[in-house]
Amino acid sequence: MQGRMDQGYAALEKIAGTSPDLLKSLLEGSPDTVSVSDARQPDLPLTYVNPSFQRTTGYASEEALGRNCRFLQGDETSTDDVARIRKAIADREPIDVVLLNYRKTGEPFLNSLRMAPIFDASGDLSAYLGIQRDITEERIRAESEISRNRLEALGTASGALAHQLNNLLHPVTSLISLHLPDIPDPGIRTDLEMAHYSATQAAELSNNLLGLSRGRFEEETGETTLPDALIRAVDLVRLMLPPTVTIETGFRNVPKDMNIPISETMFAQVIINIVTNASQATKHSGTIRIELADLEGSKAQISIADNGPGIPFGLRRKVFDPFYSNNISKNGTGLGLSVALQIINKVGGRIIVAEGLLQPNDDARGCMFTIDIPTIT
Amino acid sequence: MCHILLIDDMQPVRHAIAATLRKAGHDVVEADDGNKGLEIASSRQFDLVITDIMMPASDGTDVVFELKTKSSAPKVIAMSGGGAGIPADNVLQLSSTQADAVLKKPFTNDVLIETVSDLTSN
Repeated sequence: MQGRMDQGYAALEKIAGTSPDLLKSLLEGSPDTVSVSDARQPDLPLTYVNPSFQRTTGYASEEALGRNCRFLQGDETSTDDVARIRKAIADREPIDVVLLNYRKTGEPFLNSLRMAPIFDASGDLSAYLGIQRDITEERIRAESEISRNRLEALGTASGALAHQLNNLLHPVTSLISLHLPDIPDPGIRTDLEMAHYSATQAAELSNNLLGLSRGRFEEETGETTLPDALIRAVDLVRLMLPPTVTIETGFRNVPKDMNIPISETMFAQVIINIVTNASQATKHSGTIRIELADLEGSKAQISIADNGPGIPFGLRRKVFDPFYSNNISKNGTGLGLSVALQIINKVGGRIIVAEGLLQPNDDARGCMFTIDIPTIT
Repeated sequence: MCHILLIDDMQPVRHAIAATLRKAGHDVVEADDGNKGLEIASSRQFDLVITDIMMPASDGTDVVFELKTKSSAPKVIAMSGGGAGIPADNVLQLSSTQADAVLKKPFTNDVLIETVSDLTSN
């Protein structure tokens, strides 16, 4: 080890001798952010940041130098992560951590940080080297992929279940309706009609699940037919949310076959993410109203309104920012709405945030997400 | 009244379909797989054969094609609810080229009776 280190030093000495600027250029040109903190001064002030630091964080090097790099932390930065960094520094150990940091604009980003104590040739701790990378986009893609896989797994399982259920429900509805006309007692007839109605509803739900599970998962692009796909997605999200949430729908007065250029899985993901967000906003105890409209035959418009606390006008664009959510750790990943917006933007659609339903005490309104998607003619 | 052979591996489903057909006045013989169904069909003359498509021991598509190769073939209805990974339309695609009618499960009693009387009225 010592030998290899000596060789490394020797090679660097050689570079420093023959092309003295190359070492500086390596640091300045690194695509990953490189920062150096002085371990000999109290509170480890930054003594060097490369240009990638400014590109990522928005802070120029003169704004950063002399400060401890904790100025990148903010409200939602995990205190556990910060404690782990402190411990690593105290133990003089290297550390890998993914940290929620904030750019100069206040925008949060996920910072994959590797930090290591640097000992000089004589073995004294002289600096801390930080290598950082903004992995926000990566994480959004991964999250989108994970929820797609989750939906696929759910689809496969519910498809198998739905198929069995259909076979079991057929005799129930068929035999009840077969013998119902022969029952003279009106009270018993009413009871059996209720049983028949419930079995029919169960079969309907099971069919919707079956539709969602079939062959629509492979392709990223595709075509989805409304309102059927929306009805299926809403049935699915009903199963995923606590029964304390009321979900109302209004799909009447729309054409039977509005086709949109998006696969049903992706579409379902958008609906699930936004409805789940609405449900969380009402603390899973409010009302969510979902409506579908046909805009001049060229766009499908889906509105999802809740009677939760609402979002102040100035913050409405912000809800799509990754990790905007106030309770990331408790209620999911903080990426649900970012993923939804990304999917919709990709097919040339848009999502607008406005005022939603009246709150239960009638003095203010909740929030409404309106999704416009161009239809295929 | 028609003589009907009903082939379906799911006993409760078969029972419900048979009961519906019998109540409508038809004579129904039941078989729980395609091979048994073909055996019965070769020994007796039926006006109509109703067969499920996806069955474990034998494929209903074979039943449809086999029946339709005979002279004086009976009318045939192919039915399916699809499988866990495949929609009913796809399952019925091949049979529909030979069968006189197809029924997608789940269907109502009325649809069943109507389809049967349409095929057997003349």
